[in-house]
Amino acid sequence: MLSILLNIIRIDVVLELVSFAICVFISLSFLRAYLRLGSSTLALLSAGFGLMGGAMLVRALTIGAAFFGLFGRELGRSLTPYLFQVELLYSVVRVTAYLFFVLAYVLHPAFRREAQAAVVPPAVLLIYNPAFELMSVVVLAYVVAASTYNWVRSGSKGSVSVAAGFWALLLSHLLFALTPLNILLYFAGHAAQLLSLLLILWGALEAMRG
Amino acid sequence: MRKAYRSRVRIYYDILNAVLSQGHAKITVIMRDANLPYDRLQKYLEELAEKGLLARHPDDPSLFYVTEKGLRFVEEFQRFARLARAFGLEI
Repeated sequence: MLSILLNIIRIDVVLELVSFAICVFISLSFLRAYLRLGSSTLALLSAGFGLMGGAMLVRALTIGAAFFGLFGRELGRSLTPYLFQVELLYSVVRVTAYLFFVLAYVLHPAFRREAQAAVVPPAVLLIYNPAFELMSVVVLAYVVAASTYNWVRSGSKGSVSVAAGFWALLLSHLLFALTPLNILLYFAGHAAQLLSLLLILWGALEAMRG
Repeated sequence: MRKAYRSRVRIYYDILNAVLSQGHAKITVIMRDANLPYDRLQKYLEELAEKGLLARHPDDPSLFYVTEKGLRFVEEFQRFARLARAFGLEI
């Protein structure tokens, strides 16, 4: 049983580290653009992807350390509260990163809609991880709607990849939320997350190539 | 109908673009093309000159031209504006 768990965690940590690397690349691209131009839009996107990447790195390192090193002998006793805290921190930072994206779309949309939808992130029930996933879905829904609207309205270079990327990110959170039904959904969620970051990266590179 | 907000960096770009489209431009042309009133434009022209993005013509100080650094700024702005537009955002 423990060996199965360790294998799952191993794959989890590797996928999280790959996603972290992609997030860092996207964040640094926006940071470089921000440092050149000083635009707050670029700063918000850089901060959003940076927070996402940071959360992924912290989670991968702490979960990896917990399972494979530091807590080797007292695995059973010490793991549960420790992992709970890491997951809680991870989820809070991820939702915060999505709020940065929402802020960018609220403050600097390419197209202003007739009526802006109000964004009221739920501030309660922050103690159970599936709820965090569902909260991410709620917050991310605004980002998905805005990026899809942009693709339909402007069709600018890279916009289709970016919109598809945010849809895949939304899907990944839905899959994570449904993990209690089947552990395979957890890996499907990771695959969707990885795909989402690759799509966003592709969109960004395509747009900058002109 | 609410007027679209223009960031400072966007106004810089509009001014430089207005000058670039003419090669050299007088302040009245920049006012018209960048859609700025005289007093605000004066402030931005000073800022652009301090940053080395724009300069007065040595033979005719009423004419402005875009410097090499200004050209690079315009190119980078266009590149990063495309990036932001892919996300449905303005810079």
